[in-house]
Formats: sequence, structure tokens, C-alpha cells
Amino acid sequence: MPETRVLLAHAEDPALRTLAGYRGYGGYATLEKAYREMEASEILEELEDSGLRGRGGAGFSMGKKASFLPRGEMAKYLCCNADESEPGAFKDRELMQRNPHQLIEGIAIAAIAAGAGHAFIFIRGEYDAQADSLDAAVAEAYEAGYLGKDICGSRRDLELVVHRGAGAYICGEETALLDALEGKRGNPRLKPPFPAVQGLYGGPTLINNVETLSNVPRIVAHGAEWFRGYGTEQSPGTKVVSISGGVWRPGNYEVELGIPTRELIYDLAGGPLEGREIKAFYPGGSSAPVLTAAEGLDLPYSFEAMAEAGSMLGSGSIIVADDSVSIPLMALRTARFYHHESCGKCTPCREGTNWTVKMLERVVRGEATPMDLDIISSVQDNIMGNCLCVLGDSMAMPVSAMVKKFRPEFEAVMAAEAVAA
Amino acid sequence: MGRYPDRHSVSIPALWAVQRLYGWCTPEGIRQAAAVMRVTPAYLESVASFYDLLHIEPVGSHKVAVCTNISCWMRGGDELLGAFRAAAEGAEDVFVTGFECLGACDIAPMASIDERYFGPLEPGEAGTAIDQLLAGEDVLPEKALAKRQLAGDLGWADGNGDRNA
Repeated sequence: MPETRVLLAHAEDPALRTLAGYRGYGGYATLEKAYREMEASEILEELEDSGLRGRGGAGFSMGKKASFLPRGEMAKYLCCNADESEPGAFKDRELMQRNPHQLIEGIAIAAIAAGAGHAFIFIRGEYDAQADSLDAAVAEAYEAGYLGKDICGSRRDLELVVHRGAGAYICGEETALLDALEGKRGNPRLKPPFPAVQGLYGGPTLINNVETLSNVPRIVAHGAEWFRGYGTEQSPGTKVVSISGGVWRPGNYEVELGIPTRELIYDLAGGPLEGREIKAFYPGGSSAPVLTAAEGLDLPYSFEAMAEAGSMLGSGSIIVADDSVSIPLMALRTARFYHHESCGKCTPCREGTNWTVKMLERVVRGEATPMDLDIISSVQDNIMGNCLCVLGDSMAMPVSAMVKKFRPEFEAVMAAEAVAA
Repeated sequence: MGRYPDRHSVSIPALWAVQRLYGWCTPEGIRQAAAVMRVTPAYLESVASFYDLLHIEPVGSHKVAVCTNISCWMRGGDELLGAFRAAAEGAEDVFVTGFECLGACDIAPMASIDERYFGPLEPGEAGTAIDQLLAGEDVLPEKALAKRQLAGDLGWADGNGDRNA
């Protein structure tokens, strides 16, 4: 099956980045219609009916999330989460760089549904080039009257600010993102209250991923039924999938959710390199429990199939490990990342990531005993569900899956005292 | 500050401005930003120390961040970092560091050089990149992410695939 380019339609055209180019493909027509003719409730209903699930990792219904915001006159906010920092994920980068206006239009329409008068795009600081292109696009949109006061003569206002982060994975966690946006260290908050009730500056806040919001204009333009025409019952729509690691053609591919994972990895990304075989892969970024080739390649690529297999679709980022990759070293690399990015607020995550790294280092140095593998597993169990946010869980899930599924390899490494870290 | 409903929100942009001006978040720069924002310097310092891209110690004015996370590691990110470190030896103006995932696994192994992305890079290209950087030339123009086509498009696949066979 070839790609199904909806979000990435015309993405190869450099003119798409400009307002004129975007309008040339029909862009901003939906915003005009929404601002002039549509009520918040109509938009909300369309989004809920579409079944659009969050594309940032959790896969929660976007319309439902928006409907949690209370009605009323208080100041409400919309935050676009563009802090894409999950190892393996690079789809939002592509969407912002190639089609910034699609995102801006989506934000502006979603802001009506949320009743927000102020919106922010929180973009990771490393994405400097992408932030520049967003800045340029936002300026164009203000100029054209698609942002600012009295948009399209509708008497509705929206301010949109591109806010650059400064390098911290944790800021992709929605409450940490809010703290960072408020000018603090990006520590997660205790939930509840959820951001929908009490978020940015204490006001109700809708937080959505770049790809989620980029879907909004077309859903509102063509309707929920059209959107449900793609994908599966529980995973409607298309998905931009980032594929990297040991494949011939790493990159972003937009496909209907539910296509066989094998087609993604083999037909689109070209399969394993010469003389290699696929050993395992992370189906949804580095936080997703790894699947062995036998477990995962023939599963449909959908939220429900990945969950059923004990993993997750996450942000939709596949990292392929071929048979040249040492799983214990990959586990160590994964654990080191989370250890480095742990904000240190909750003990199980701060200490758990630290211990896990130390124990895995002992494993690959050949200084560990088989009992240490059990301890590693029990440390992971003690992290899961015991912290304010899921950063610790995001290490615990893939690491415990690797230890469980590749235990003989861990034991062999310990015995051989080989592999240099 | 006028763009935000609350002036505290400007702390990261303010620290970026300090870093642009001084090359790093100097105590003097932080004091100035804090005075404008009407917060204590200690508050801004605590914010600066949280984020990887804000430097609270002097660094070179050219910044090279080599990704060593999973996908880049699989394709030789560690070797690339080593090559950049060696190439920048003695060049005090260049700050080379290993970095967590930069969100460009499609061009692994990659590096961010003065905030622009390049890849896939060979260790042998590190020296060229550093020379070009110091001479004020365009760095590895053929390897710039900005030049890259969408994955499905032709003209990209072979160069990347061959090397890793």
C-alpha cells in the first residue's frame, strides 16, 4: 500500500510554506468559514465525532479533551505542544517546516472550540529553523487578518505566540510544558487538577500535539465521516510515522492507521540493510515497549493493535533494531536518556533511572550477576505508576520489555564480559 | 513581555537574549534581565540551570551538538562525536557536545551546528565542517536538513543506504 498523504499533501512544494502557497491549495478557507459561520459547539461536535486521537503519545480523544474545558467568560488558553523530543520522533518537525500554516489554521479553529483567546506554540529550542519558519508564518497570518483582533470580521480574537523552549525532554509532558511556559523550571504538576480545568496561569487550557492540531482544518472542512473513512474504527485517520534505525529509507511516511507494520518497515522504509535481519523495534518512540520482529511485524499499525500486543503506538515513531544491535546496549542507551532527562522531582524516577543506568552499565561490563536482572525488573516495577508524570514509566516500559524478551542475550553479555559501552 | 499575559513567561526568551548577547548566560546578563523582569537573579539562574541549551558557564561561540541517542547511536553517532571532538581540539571557539535526541533520526547520524541540522554525516566530514565553521563558510551545504526531500521522494535513498550496508 502506498502512502496516503493528507497532512503531507503537497509537502514537496516549497511554496506551501508561504501564506500565498498555502491558500493556493485551498488553505484558510476553513478558518474563514469557521470564524464567520460556526459555533464552538459545532466544531467541538465535529472533532468528537471524528474520533481523532491525540498524536503526541497518549492517544486520547482530542474532541473529548476539548470538551472538558468549562464554559464561561474566564480567560482560556490553547497550547500547541511542539516540544517533540521523544527519541525516534521527528514528524512534527516535518509538519512545521513544510506546512506551518496548516498548523496555524488548526490552532485558530481549535481555539474557537476551546473558547481560547490566547494560544501558544511551545517548540523545543533545538528546532531553531522550524521556529523561524513558524515565526514567519505567524507574522503572515497576522498580516492577513487570520490572527489578532476581529478575525475575518467575526469579532473573535486570537493571539498566537511562538515560544521557544531551551532543551528539556520533560517539557513535552503537558503540565511541565505549562510550567516552562510560565517561565519556571519545567517540572510536572500534580494531577488533578487537569490542565483543562486549571492549566496555564490557572486558567482552563487545551493542550494538543502539532499533528493533532494539523488535522483540525480538514476535519472541520470535510466532516467527521470523511475523516473516519481513513484508518480503523478505533484509530481513525492517517498518521505521519517516523521510521529510523536500521532501514534503507529512514523518514516520515503518512499512512492510514491500521496498515500492516510490515508494509511500513519493508515497503515504505525499504526494510533492513544488506545482509541484516530485523531483531526488534520500538513501535511508538523510545518509551514504547520493544516488540520482537516475530511479535510485531504482522500487527496492524493502530492504537488498539499495539496496546493489545502490550506496547503502544505512542507518537508513531518506529525505531528498527537489526541483528547487529546489542539489546543490552540499546537498553542502556535508552535508560541513560531518561536518567538525563528526569527532572528529579519524584524519587522513584530520579533514583530509579539512576540505578537502572548503573546496573545496566554493570551488565555490559560483565560485572553483574543474573540476580541483577531481576533487580532491574523490580526497579522498573517500582517506578511505574508512582510518579507525577510518566517519564519514569517511559524508561521502565521499554527496559523491562527488553530484559524480559531478550534475557538470554543479557545473560550472554554478562557471561562474555564483552561489549564495550 | 507584552506578548504574554504574565511577565514571568518571558524568562526563557530573556535568557536566550542574554545568551545571544554574551555567548552564555553571564551573571551580569542575568542581573540585567532579572531587573527588567522584576524577578531575582537567583530565580533566573535556577531557570537557566534547568535547560540544556542555556549555558551558565562560558562556552565557545560556535556550538556543535552531536546526537548520541538510539537511532544515531545505531548508525555511528558515538564515532561522529569522537571525530568532532578531535577535529575541534585546540579550537577554543567551538563547543562540541554529545546531545540527546535532536529529532532528526531520519538523517542519522546527525549534528546540530550553530542551530542548523546536518546529516547523515561521516566521521571524516567533521574536520571539513569545523574548518568551514571557523572560516565563516557555509557548513557542509549538501548535508543540510533544509535540502532534504520527503522520505518517499526519490533521490535520497541511495546515498544513505549504501554507506550502512
